[in-house]
Amino acid sequence: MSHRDENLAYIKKVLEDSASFNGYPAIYALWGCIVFIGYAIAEFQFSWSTMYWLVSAPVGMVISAWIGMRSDKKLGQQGSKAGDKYLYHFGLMVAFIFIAVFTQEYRSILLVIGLGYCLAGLHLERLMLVVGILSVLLYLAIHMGWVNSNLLVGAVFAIGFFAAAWGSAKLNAESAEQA
Amino acid sequence: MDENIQSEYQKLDRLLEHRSRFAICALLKRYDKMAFSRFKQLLKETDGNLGAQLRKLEDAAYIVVEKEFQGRKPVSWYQLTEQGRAALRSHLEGLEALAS
Repeated sequence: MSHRDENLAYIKKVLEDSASFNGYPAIYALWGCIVFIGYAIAEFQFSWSTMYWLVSAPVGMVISAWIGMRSDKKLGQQGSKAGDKYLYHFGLMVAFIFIAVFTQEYRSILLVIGLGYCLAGLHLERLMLVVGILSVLLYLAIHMGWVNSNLLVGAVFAIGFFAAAWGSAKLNAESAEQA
Repeated sequence: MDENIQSEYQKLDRLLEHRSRFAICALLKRYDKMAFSRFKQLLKETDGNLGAQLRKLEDAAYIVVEKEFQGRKPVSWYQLTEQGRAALRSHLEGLEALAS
């Protein structure tokens, strides 16, 4: 390997390290709470559901972006181009969920969330696969008639988000130790 | 030496031939601002060496530094200038042409 190739390999490694990222536990925990409350409302006061999601989804996205920027600044970097990817990905997912709500295709919301999180797991953060796979399994369980309680769906969903939060905290601590 | 290769060699920036300086500019292309402590963590350089490399880039006006306080702690944030961006672009083009 030439001196120049060695240098390029070093720079590639530095750039990869700067982007090796396992998410922010606080964001997963936030969405665990939002989703659990949302499904609990659907169980006990269904008429409030649409209004709840109309408000909580955009507010949740703004809070998530704020947590991400604040944590990045604490880490020592600002204005990552990766932030835009998250914004477009989840912005589009929320838009599709609103279409499902508008057309009253409530069941397909879980499928949209499942697809959104599975793709995010492949392209953004691996841990998002946990939430994605769980959403698809919940969708199938409801479709097969094995689950018919919104509260149970919300609880399982929240467990998925909190498991991802735990995984994220653990992996981030490991990378900090290695550094 | 072939004239084409010679012209590609001229595109290479001598300042960016050093891997730490090249890495600093590459990181600042990806992130708008980066702190000294983060460079130190990623580049695994000593304070003295990293400070010297950053100063060379600053003297060439490739980067600018902005100091702020986070609580009581001073933090130096570095940013790529237009001149630095152009130098990095030209250096990368030169490397790409030489590789092909």
